[in-house]
Amino acid sequence: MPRLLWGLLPLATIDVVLFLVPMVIMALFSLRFSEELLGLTGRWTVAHYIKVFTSEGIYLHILVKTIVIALIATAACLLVGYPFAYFIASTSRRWQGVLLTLVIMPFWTSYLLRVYAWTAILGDRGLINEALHFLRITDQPLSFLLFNVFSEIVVFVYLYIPYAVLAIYASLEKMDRSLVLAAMDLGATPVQAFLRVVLPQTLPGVYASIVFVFIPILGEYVTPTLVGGMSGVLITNLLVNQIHALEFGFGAAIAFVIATFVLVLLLGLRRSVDLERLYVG
Amino acid sequence: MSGEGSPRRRRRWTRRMPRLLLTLYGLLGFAFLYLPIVVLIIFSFNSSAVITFPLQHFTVSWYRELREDFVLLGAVRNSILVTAVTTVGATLVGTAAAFPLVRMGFRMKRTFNLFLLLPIVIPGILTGIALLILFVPVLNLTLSLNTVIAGQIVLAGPFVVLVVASRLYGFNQQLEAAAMDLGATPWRTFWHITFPLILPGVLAGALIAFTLTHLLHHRPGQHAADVHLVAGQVRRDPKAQRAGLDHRRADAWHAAHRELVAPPARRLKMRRAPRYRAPAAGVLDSLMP
Repeated sequence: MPRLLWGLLPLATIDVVLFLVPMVIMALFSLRFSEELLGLTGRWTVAHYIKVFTSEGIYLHILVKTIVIALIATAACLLVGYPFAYFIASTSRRWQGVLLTLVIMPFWTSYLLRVYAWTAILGDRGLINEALHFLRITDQPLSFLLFNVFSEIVVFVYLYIPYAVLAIYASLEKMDRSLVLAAMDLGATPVQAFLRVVLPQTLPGVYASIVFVFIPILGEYVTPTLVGGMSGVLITNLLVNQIHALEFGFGAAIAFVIATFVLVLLLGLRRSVDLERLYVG
Repeated sequence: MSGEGSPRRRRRWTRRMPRLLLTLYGLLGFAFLYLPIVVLIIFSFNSSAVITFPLQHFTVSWYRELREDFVLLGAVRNSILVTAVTTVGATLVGTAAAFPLVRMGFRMKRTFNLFLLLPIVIPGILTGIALLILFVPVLNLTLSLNTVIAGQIVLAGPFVVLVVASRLYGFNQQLEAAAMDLGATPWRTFWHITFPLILPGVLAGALIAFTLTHLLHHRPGQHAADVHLVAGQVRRDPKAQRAGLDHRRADAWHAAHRELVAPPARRLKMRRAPRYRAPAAGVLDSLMP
């Protein structure tokens, strides 16, 4: 039934016109320098890229900082999320359904408000500081809890841990449990059994959570804006500032540097994560 | 007696210990996931206009105020429109594409697959800014709800493909062959056999498109261009705006959130269409000028 092929046409058209073409135009824009605002006229140049990588190192510095923070948050998501996924996978079938629904439920509430709520938890007059004060542990509020890299990472972990938990849970579910029993029968300690039998089998889940945690954090903008404070400025903040200042050429260059990084990462992970498989199961 | 009993008891205890610790860990995990939501619910009933502790007294005035805010209600209408069009559009386009991707072999299929899925993994803010550059300096369009919908379909369509495709993979094609053998036309076969069987997948795809659209509204940052920029008002420095964010509005928003978002979430569990979820999304736009 070759007629079926026509089904591809609408989506392919949308993807080409509204994704591929804009990306190519963005790439072209990043190579243009124009005197006038929003101008299409101008000359070809790599000046924008030179500015990203030099200009007293500000952009490069923030880019590297963004990547490091995303790495720390991803590692924290994996470390905290793994035992959590293990807990869910260890419950009975019926409970697993309930618990997974509970993990997904926060997605259905406002993303922005969930970030905003953290200011009421970590702030000077937030839940934690008021509790510490009430218990007479501190006299002064702990001000290092909010508006810095720390609160930013806490919120990243909070926002993205469900993705890590779901991906790890999926691979724990597929794992052959009799292998664990066999390892124990052959005298492996629980730690050995985990490291040499369980962990290798769940690595696909770990890689998948890198795709669904690390990459989205690179594009995070609300969290650094709401809870990051001055020290938590990330590359997306600089990018959006450029766009707001109508510096499309330079903004496009920053966007393209991020996009290239993401694409290289995806190509690197392609062998470890079969994107199609992730959903198809 | 006790010498024999206690090791056994201890053994049982040590066997249960990891299980207990794991359960405790799980409970802590859920506390972490739900803490901010609980805090928001509490503050939506708090009389103070700022969200700081200690709490003032109990009130439902934010909920009452919600019904009288016309700016907010206009945003609600916009949201319903955008969500409805995006959900229908993405579901149609995604379902149509899922069939050939699952059932047909063609050259470069894998590459094509990757290309179709790319909008999912590329951070939305990059797609949004690329679209903005296309719409404003290149095409010289006026940004509107139409451009928002265009941006949303790009992001939601691939998700529908994935969900419908997973349903199609498990589809027994002999059922279709049987219907055709018994004289059904292809069209009749589709509506009487294929469609009812893939309907759960299509609905799940629609739900994802719906959720994403509603989430995108909530993610003005991640999809800055979609919402803030493509939506028509190229806004000035968002930081300054957010610093000046009106807390009373924010609390009305909490109220909106509880009233509009939570009940549908409960309905969702009962497998009914969550009708009023989108409105809350648009409320946000009025919050963030």
